[in-house]
Order: sequence, then structure tokens, then C-alpha cells
Amino acid sequence: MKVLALALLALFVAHPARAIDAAEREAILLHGPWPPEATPDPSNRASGDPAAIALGQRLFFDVRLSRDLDRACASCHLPAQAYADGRPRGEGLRPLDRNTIALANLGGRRWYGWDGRSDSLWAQSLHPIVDERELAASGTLLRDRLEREHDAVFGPADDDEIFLVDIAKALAAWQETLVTPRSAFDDYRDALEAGDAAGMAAYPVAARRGLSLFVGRGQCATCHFGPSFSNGEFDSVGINYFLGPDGVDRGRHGGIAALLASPFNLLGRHNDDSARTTAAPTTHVALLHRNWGEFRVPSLRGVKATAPYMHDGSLATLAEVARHYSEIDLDRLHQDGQLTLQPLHLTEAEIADLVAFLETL
Amino acid sequence: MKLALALAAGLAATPALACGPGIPVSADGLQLAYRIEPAAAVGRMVAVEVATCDGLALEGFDARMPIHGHGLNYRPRIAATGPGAYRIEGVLFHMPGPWQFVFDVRAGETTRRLTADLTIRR
Ligand code: HEC
Ligand code: HEC
Repeated sequence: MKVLALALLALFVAHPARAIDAAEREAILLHGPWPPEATPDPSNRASGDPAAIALGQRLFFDVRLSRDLDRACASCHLPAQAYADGRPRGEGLRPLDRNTIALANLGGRRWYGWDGRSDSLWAQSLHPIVDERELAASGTLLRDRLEREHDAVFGPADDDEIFLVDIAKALAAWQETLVTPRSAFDDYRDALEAGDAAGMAAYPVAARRGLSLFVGRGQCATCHFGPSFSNGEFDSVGINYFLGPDGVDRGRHGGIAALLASPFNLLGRHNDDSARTTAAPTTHVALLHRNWGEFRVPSLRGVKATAPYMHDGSLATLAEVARHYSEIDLDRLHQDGQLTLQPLHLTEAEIADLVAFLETL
Repeated sequence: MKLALALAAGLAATPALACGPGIPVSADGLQLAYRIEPAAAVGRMVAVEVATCDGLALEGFDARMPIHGHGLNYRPRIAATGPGAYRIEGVLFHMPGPWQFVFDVRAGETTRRLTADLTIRR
């Protein structure tokens, strides 16, 4: 009996990353496999089309998309910075209120933007072209400049609005190809699934402890769910949503209003899929009071490279994010019932573990 | 013999009521059965097929997470598809964990609320 206990103890000491129970194993496996299978977007006839992808890639870097021929998508979405810009908030012709979102793993999502104002990648790609603070161009202007390139891929457009949408669809077709590569976490997850002890041992011990916090006591995975580490929905984690003394960022509340008012949503004439197979979320989305100040649950894939964090870029590092959750101010959350988010009161070592884990995604 | 056993096992796995296939829900003698199509998963928009017994009418539906105090982010719509048969479109479980279905039914003059607990794991 004593011998057995000693043997077990020895085993435990030999594996400081500690034993994995069945529930934890299942919770970890849910975050893969990676990468996901790429499926074309039925609402975009350019999706998956090589000629459209090549056009979209060129246009993403092309200043002819801006009114004053002085900036492009890539002025804010920098290839060397994971297609974000490293600033707290975007800077266009005028300053923006929100953090520039890194572009990756964009295919097959329900919602785009921090407030989910777009139900397709092409609709989201159209916004900055016409937004007065960003590229400030128009369909008419683009048609004057880009007709030849456009027509070579799409054929002639019936009107300027269709022309604009086509350009956005080419941009979307290219952006769909941006996928974060397999990570150290993916190797660990697959080794765990396969029961490959050597593969599992290659994963850093601190990251492994952080992973336990993430799927366990931290309850992070209730929102940062699945292979992309996001449930694709919206929530509030107590980040300020007031803009100066009298402004407010309505977040998801404004996003739903903008979505439903947009001629470019999936219920409109620009959806290339007559069966409207991807439009159900738009048909059913509910505008709720609690949507005030809610923002999209961001994917955490590649998160190490996309500082600063949160919709307003207010947290500079992943350690600051971990501290934010550790000491979260419940008075700032307008949820009822038992909250998912509770101050975790993490030690400095636990914060370091959580960061070590996030850096492996 | 083997076939009979297999059939019995199949029946036990999805206990069928006289009024239709699916998971039975009942209270005070009122009964319905529901099925989720396609299989429930976090972040997947699904439909709930409901079969009611004894001319019971389905008048309302909701899904919520009692421990988190929130419901759906989407507004499901009920459509009658036949006598005692309904299809509810637009249900999306956005978090794993315990959920509860709420069915508001009418039998003649009386309305009644039936609830069913379910757990969404993945
Ligand atoms: C002035 C800076 C700026 C420019 C120029 C710009 N963006 Fe953005 N982009 C942002 C910001 C800021 C956000 C987040 C906006 C929000 O959600 O409110 C964003 C969000 C996005 C998203 C959403 C990503 C997601 O995960 O939901 C896509 C896609 C995108 N931009 C594509 C483009 C394309 C294509 C262009 C060029 C036509 C472009 N952007 C030009 C700053 C910019
Ligand atoms: C209730 C849902 C929920 C839970 C639980 C949750 N998050 Fe988040 N997370 C969000 C939302 C929503 C945002 C964006 C908030 C904003 O910008 O206002 C976010 C943002 C983040 C970001 C910033 C990502 C970026 O690109 O800006 C990180 C990192 C993060 N969460 C990690 C965690 C960790 C670690 C935990 C567990 C301790 C956790 N989250 C728990 C919903 C959640």
C-alpha cells in the first residue's frame, strides 16, 4: 500500500504539469483541430476564385481605393503587424474610436467588426472604403479608376453600387486566405488527443499551467470557445465604453442597428446566394438592452502579435489583460444571475502562466 | 432476436411519445416532444422540432441559461408545420453549459409553461 502510494507520488513529481482529468482533457480538445477546413462564402461569388483573390490582394495595398490617393487598407492593417497597426485606436483621415482588428481567420464567421455591424466579410470590407474617416471614396470614384481591372474579373457592373460591392468582394476573397498557422498549442492539443506523451512534454510547463487556468477556474473558455477561441458573440468584460465627457460607444447595440439599416446586409440584393443560406443570424438577431457596451469576443489565435488589446486598445499587454480579469470590477458589468466573470485574484505567478499560455496560441 | 434488442435499445435512447419523436417533456398530463436539428453545438444555428400531444398548441418558446441569467441573442420564430407539429427556427446556443427550454402551451382555456433542461457540451 505504502509502496503504491510512494510510486504514485514519484509519478506525480516526475510530471509537474500534473495529471489531466477527463473533463479537462475534453475541454482542451474542444480548442482544435486547427486549421479549420476552408469553405467558400456562398454570399460572395468571388470567394475562392483565384482571379478575384489576386485582384483583392493588389487592391488591399492600392491607394486608388482612397479619395485622396494617399492611403490604403494596408495603411492601418500592416502586414508586418499581423494586419493590425499596433496603435490603441485606428488613425485615418480622422481618429477612430476603436482598435484596428488584426486580419486572420475571417472565413465563415457570423459577424465582423467589434460591434458585429456586418454579417459578411465583403460588407465589412466595404465600410472603410466609404467611411469619411477612413478612405472616404465612393463607388463612382472607384469605377472611374478601376473599371478595367474590375471587369476582367467580374464583367461589367450594372451600377456604381454593384461595382463597389464587387471590389469589396474581391478584397474579402483575398482576406479569407489569411489564416494563422498551427501553433505550439495545436501541437500540444493533438498530442493530448493522440496520447503522445513525448509530444505533450514539448509544451512549456508554464503554458500548460496557464491552459488549466483558462479552461478551468478562469472560465475563459465559456466565451473564448472552440478552435478560434471565440464563440463569435458579444459580451461585456468591464472595459469602459464612454468616449470623452458626452460620447458613448454603444457597441453591439449600435452594431445591430447599423446591420439592420444597411443595404449591404445578407437580406439585401447584393447577397449572391439566392437561397440565403448564411442569412439566418441576420433574420433572427435580437436587439437587447444588454447589448449596450457589449463587444465581440475576440479570437485569441495569434494574440501575442496584436497588442494593444480590447475594443479601445486600452490594455497594452497580455499581462495587463490577465490583471484586468484577475481584479475585474463587477459593478461595471450589467449582467444578472451568477456571473461567468468573477475576480480571480491571481498571483503574479498565475498571471505569468496565463500569459505564457496565450502566447502559444 | 438481435434485431429486437437493437430496436429496444434505439427506443430507449430516444423515448418516443405517442405524439411524436424526440425528447419528451411533460407536466400535469400535458406532453410534448422536441428534437434539435441539426445536432446542437455551441455557435451553430439550429431548429427545434416540436410535436405536441392531445391538440396542445405551442404559443411561445424561449431558451435561457438560468445560472448566467441570460437568454438567447437571437429571436426564434415558431411555425406550425402540421397538426400538433411545429418548427422553431433561429436558436443559437452561444455558450456551453446548462440551458433550459421554455415552451408556452395552450390546452383549451388554460395556458401552461413546460420547461426542459439540457446541457450543451460542445
Ligand atoms: C483608418 C484605419 C483603417 C483603414 C484604412 C482600414 N481599416 Fe479595417 N479596421 C480598422 C478598425 C479600427 C477596425 C475595427 C472597426 C470596428 O469594429 O469598429 C477595422 C476592422 C476591419 C475588419 C474586421 C475584422 C474582423 O475580425 O471582424 C476587416 C475585415 C477590415 N477592417 C478590412 C479592411 C479593408 C478591406 C480595408 C480597406 C478597404 C480596411 N479595413 C481599411 C481600421 C482601418
Ligand atoms: C463573458 C465572456 C468572456 C470571458 C469569460 C472572458 N472573456 Fe476575454 N474577452 C471577452 C470580450 C467581450 C472581449 C472584448 C472586450 C472589449 O473589447 O470591450 C475580450 C477580450 C479579451 C482579450 C483581448 C483580445 C484582443 O485581441 O483585444 C484577451 C487576451 C482575453 N479576452 C482573454 C481572456 C482570458 C484569459 C479570460 C479568462 C481569465 C477571458 N478572456 C474571459 C469576453 C470574455
